[in-house]
Amino acid sequence: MTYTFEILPMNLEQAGYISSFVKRLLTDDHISKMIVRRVSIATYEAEINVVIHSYGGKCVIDYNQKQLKIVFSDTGPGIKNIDAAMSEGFSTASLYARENGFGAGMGLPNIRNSCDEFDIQSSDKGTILTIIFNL
Amino acid sequence: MKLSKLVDILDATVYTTKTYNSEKEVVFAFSCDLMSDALMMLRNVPLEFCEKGILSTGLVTIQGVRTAEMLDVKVILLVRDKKPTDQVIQAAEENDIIMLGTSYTMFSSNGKMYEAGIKGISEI
Repeated sequence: MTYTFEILPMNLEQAGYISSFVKRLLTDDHISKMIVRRVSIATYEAEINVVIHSYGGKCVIDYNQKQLKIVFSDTGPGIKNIDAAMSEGFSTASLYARENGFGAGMGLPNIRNSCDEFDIQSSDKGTILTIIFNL
Repeated sequence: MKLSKLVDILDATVYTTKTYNSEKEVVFAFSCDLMSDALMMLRNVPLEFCEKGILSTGLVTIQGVRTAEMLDVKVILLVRDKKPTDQVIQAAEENDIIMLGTSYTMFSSNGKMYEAGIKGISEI
């Protein structure tokens, strides 16, 4: 099954909708709770990243019995230094993000540590984050 | 510890009357205002502990509820007399989360909880 969601920029009221959806989807299919937790955390962090850092984007979820693949893509402005962004504690988050509980600089490292496969590509045209979980 | 004792110790307000269970057992707490810290630090805490955990925070937005939901934490304690909106309370109840509030600061409420036997994640 494939599911596609639009993600609006700077709309933290809606942020978490996709991760809630994924969590319910896996829970209803009786996937191991620890896997569900890893998926939920990574999806939530990634969703928040698109909301607080980008001009907006989308999320495409490909789900089958063996694997869950989630691709987040946005329309910019991109990550200038991916190596720095992957370092724990590095953050370029706005005051708005911090006031809403995010911007600790732990998002990407936490995503990488929660999934089985991780890939991120970025330019000033946008960022594409692909995360895969073996089920 | 039963949740009713925690409410008593912190002179807490129960915001989520639909989900409140005075008999619920709680064993540990984690405190932060940045939710990424909770998502990082609680990621590997065994599920059975998370379900008996308390997320203590001054963050009163919907993102506190979302974070607890993703981590399977069932109790949120709002410190410093932060008041949730009806929308936040509703979101908590929809996710079977209990939301409490106390006028104590994070430091003082943590001290009171620890004194009463609630542990930190490094001790469970």
